[in-house]
Amino acid sequence: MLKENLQKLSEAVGVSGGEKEIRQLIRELVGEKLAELTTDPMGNLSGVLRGTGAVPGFRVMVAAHMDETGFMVSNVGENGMISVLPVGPLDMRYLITARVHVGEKKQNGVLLWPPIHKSNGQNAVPGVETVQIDVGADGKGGVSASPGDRVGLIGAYAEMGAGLVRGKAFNGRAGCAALIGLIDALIAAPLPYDVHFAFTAQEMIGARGARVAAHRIDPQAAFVLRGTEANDLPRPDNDDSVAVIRLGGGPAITINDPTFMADRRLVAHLREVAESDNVPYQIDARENGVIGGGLVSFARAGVPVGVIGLPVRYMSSPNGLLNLSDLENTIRLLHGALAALRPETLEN
Amino acid sequence: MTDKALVRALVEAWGPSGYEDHVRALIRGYVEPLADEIRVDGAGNLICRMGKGGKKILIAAHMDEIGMVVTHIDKDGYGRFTGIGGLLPATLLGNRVRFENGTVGVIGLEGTFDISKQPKSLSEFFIDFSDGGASRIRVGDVAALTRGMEERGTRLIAKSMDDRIGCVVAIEAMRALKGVQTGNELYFVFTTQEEVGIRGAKAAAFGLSPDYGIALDVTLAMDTPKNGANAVKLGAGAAVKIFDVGHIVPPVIKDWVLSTAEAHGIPHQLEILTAGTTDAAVIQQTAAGIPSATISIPTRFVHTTSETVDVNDVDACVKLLVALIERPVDM
Repeated sequence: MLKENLQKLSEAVGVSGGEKEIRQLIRELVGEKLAELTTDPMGNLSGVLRGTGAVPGFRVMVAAHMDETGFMVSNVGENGMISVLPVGPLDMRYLITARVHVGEKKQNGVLLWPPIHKSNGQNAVPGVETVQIDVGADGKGGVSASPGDRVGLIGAYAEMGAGLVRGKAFNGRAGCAALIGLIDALIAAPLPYDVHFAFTAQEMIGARGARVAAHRIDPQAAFVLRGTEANDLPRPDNDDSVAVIRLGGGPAITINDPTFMADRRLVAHLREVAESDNVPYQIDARENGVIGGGLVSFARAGVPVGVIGLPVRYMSSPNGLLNLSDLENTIRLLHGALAALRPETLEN
Repeated sequence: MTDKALVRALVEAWGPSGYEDHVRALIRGYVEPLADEIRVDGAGNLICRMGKGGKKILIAAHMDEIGMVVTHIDKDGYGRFTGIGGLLPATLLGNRVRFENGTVGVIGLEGTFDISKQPKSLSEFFIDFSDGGASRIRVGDVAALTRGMEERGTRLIAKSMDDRIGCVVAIEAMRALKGVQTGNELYFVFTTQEEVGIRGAKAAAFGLSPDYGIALDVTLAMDTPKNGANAVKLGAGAAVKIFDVGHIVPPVIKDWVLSTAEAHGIPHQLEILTAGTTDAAVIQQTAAGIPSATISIPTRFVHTTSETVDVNDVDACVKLLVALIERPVDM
């Protein structure tokens, strides 16, 4: 079930600000399990799983983002080539000749790139702002898209060896799959308080959705799931000077980003739960890359936030690699952390 | 006169951004007898109310200091780290860091000793725990630079004057206002996570929804060789913020602060800062807008272990703050 959901979630299109398709899919997957399922003005989908009420007034938010990086059509040329703008951080080294879906009609396209023997010397990786998309049209009339339409990357989802799967958009969708898995786990064993689920919009362009969702939900604590770059690649001379996040190493409990310190009580809580429940985990102390959890902490009069990273190799490419055991262990960790969380955990 | 023992206690306390618990407990001990009500909000801010009714004024000073997080411990036991806040690579080699559990490490630089080497990135540095010390440290643990305070005439030299000296100004003002019916509802807020993005003050401002904000923070004293012209000088009084990169002080607020300083004969100088900002930047932009001032304590060598202030400036800042809020504020 988890695997099937992950594949569907990965394959759905949902470039930041254009999350309609992925939101609809999550609505279907969540079905009637969450109460008050609502799409807010930012495009966040949220709903609540009622607890037994034994701890009244306590509200916890769990969030993962629905959106993915991609492009937006800025102009359709007379020759049928489509000019685009980047949506979210894109690494062009991964995207030369990438396959894409253009607009809601999903016209098939390819990122234009001259072949090396006819390139007139244009062999450098193109700047993201110079990208054009070729949909095979012989003129403007052959293009169904218009400016503002989103362009989504196509990732061929596949199962690989050693429990790994390949796909696009794992940065957000792995977390979405974990949250959907968590719903079933919590229905089987209800918590004493309400858990609010938020599938957030526009994370890749500055965590805009998460902040609004947190303001609406007004939780006493929040856990944010997201992808984190797995850098467990061969290193020259077995260099041992940098931190390594490994596929299969378990969920990555996050300490910080350059603009945010995760709540130390929730960091300690996650660590304790991982150790007592024998969930493998790693620690992610980040030197760069701003994570969405920081903006949740900004909501209203401040929300304690814990962040859990799901390790993904080649994360900003259409060919991310994810270890299914990390996904399962993320659900276990978050489930355990919620089950053990009480208002007293957050007392000063 | 500035309570130097208070300054020492605060600057020598341990509290990088997000890990302000010890500083908060320490400050709480000082302000407990002074405030009418004390609480800690969701962002970890220590909120101390004095008085009830009248204009609500948020006075913010941040508790956190810059520091580092251990990202990796190698097979030989050397730690690698990333910065919390604006850690300056040029200040690190040979400096000492202290962890919450008391473990002290020394910061070293990769490679052979080379007097001409100019480290540019934190990734070139490591922490030497020596003597098996790494066994007491885990990846994700947080450290701060460590150094005791020195007194030299009117000058005080220490780490973390940024912004514990602002906390001192707030506590001294609370002491001065104990028992005074100011006609204002004063919220002295000791804020969190300023150094990583002014996080605590944002939450406090939203939660309190005050009429006015006043930030207390250090500013760069520029009266040192080849520094700026027409700049803030150490010992020349409280620095009244006019402009920084995140905060243009509204004219009515500026006039209020300056006219108060003049009316009370408090030494002051005008501050225009082109690097950095304070809690006031986010307080001012919260909700429908909260007009805000900043009173700055001139400080040399900011973000080093030898941040230097002058007690006469600290006194002037306390006097100015008290003069601003000791009677009903109405603009």
